[in-house]
Amino acid sequence: MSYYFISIGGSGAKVMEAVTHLCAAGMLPTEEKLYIMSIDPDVGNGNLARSSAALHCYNSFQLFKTGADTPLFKNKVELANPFVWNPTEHDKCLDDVMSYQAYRGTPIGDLYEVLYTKKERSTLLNEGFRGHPSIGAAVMAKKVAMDKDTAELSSDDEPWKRFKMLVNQDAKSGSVARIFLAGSVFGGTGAAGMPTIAKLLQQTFKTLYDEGKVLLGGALILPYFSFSPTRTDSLTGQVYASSENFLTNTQAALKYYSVKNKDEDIYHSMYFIGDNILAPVQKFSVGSSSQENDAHVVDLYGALAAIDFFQTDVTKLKKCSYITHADDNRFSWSDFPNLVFKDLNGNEESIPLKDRFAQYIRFIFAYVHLVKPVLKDLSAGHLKDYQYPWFIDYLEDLNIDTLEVKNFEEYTECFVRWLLQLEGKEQHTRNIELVHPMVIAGLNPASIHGELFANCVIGEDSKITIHELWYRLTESDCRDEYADGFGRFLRVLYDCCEKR
Amino acid sequence: MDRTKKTVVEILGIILAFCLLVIIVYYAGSGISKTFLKAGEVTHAVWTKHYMGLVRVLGIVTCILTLAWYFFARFFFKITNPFGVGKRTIWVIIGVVNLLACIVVPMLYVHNDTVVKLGAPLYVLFLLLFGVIGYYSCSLLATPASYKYTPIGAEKLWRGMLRKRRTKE
Repeated sequence: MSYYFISIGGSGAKVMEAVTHLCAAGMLPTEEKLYIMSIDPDVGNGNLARSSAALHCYNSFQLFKTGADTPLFKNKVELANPFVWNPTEHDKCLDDVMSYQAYRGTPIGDLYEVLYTKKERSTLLNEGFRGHPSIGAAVMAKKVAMDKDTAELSSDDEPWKRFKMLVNQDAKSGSVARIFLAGSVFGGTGAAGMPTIAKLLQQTFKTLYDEGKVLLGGALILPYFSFSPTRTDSLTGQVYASSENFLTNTQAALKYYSVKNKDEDIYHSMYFIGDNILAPVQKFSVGSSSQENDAHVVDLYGALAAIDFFQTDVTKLKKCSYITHADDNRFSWSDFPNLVFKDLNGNEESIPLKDRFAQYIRFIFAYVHLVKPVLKDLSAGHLKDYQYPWFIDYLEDLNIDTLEVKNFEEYTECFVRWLLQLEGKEQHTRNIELVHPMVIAGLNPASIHGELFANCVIGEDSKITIHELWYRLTESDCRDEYADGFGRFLRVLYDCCEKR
Repeated sequence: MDRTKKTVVEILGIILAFCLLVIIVYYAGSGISKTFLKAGEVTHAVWTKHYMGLVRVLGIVTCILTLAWYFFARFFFKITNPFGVGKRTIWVIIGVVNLLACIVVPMLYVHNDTVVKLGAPLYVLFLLLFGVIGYYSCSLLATPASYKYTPIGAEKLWRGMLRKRRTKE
């Protein structure tokens, strides 16, 4: 295993959601496994719940046998256990975490009192660090179990124990472990975790790091949204993140990274991603399940940054990468970087993102429109199967009432929702021109306008209508000996969505 | 074989199949006619000459009906959603029209051509060869992929073959 992705905080979780979709679409450079872990003291965070829903679904159905030589689900994922590492315990405040009572009255205790206000010290951390990275940095530095030897780590130290073991295994087998962190620099958890965790990783894998066997990359998310607290939140005097402070926080953080990375050279590659137009968040939340912000193009850039980090040769890694886009008011496919794929002989092939993603989008849309509405009824015998030749050819003998199939269907819902949010219909801040604005007809359950299917991806006239797709499905056959079961059907559907 | 080539081959195959059926029906009918043509009436040679005309007309009509199913399935039934697909009712209707044509066309032909006399065995022959073997076999073997299981029995035939092929692989 060589790819590791650690999301930190709510913004990191949103990048993780985009990574999940790109991973399922087979966008990672090689077929190696991706280890994913999340750090968030606000375990019930809505962003995290949504992004991890897609990921958990993918984790369940990734074992579908789609065969060899296909990008579809080619990268398997391993989720950390526990998946979300919570640096604080339930109903604990900073004083509890730092064992303040034991140091009270001592010089250390006095220093601590100077550094943190009473309100910061006594606020419960169940809903994260509320835009105060100074709290998070202290908590994380104290709680990350990386300073012990692997043998000394107990099950209480998971998921760090397994993480450390896997990275060491990689080094032993001669491969390079690429660890990518994603989080914001302007909020609470991300701003606290991005420098702290990176530094701890550098210290933990010092030798491997110096030998170039552990590479560290990070997507540092700059402000791209704004919000206004409700009157109640303001009146109760709660500690919460404030978007007015985002730019000041960011400036301070960037200065820090500039100095720190020059002196200590922590990240091998950093990707700073933000937006000069701050998208308004519909509903302000201090944290928990109500903190659920729509997907944003910044998340997609964050995920593409991870892929760039994974795919770039170690000698070509840049400290800071730049990317430009043509029109300030719109994003189109050409604004995204190319993907680089490596075969077993190390040969590289560069493909525009659209070429691969368009097929995947059609694949999901095709499933949602053509298969999902009838699959259950077909399986139960409520529909006449002769009407659906693809069902007879691939699915009739299968039990499709399985958890994997259900998870795949749930995943398609997540994907369509994510795509719709990415288009920014709610935010109206940018024209995100990726898929036809009218193609998605509805959510819960996801549905699409079948007549727009051929032109569902903007800038690509695929000529694959629903009728054409149906025809392809019924006349094709999967001759891949490694494809089997429901995976074989998905493989055929995916292949049929290829632009020819 | 790409889809266009396959379409051309299948259309030509249907036409060829009906040409063969015309020949078979002609010779079979010619033989059968000896059982009901009586002395003093029209000679066998004259009868067969007129009979050939009927067989040709009937062959063309049933071939057109068979091709109609093929063209509908290949070019006119557009699928935009997963409901209302299959079109078996239309396949059955064309089949019934085909069977009716096997009775009505000869009757009309006989009405206009007094030379051709037809016995019941010949009607059975028309129904069997043009109606059943012609339309059914051709639609069974040459229905476009989108509707390949629409003809009754096609599912059994193709699934059996698919299984055999997969077992071999």
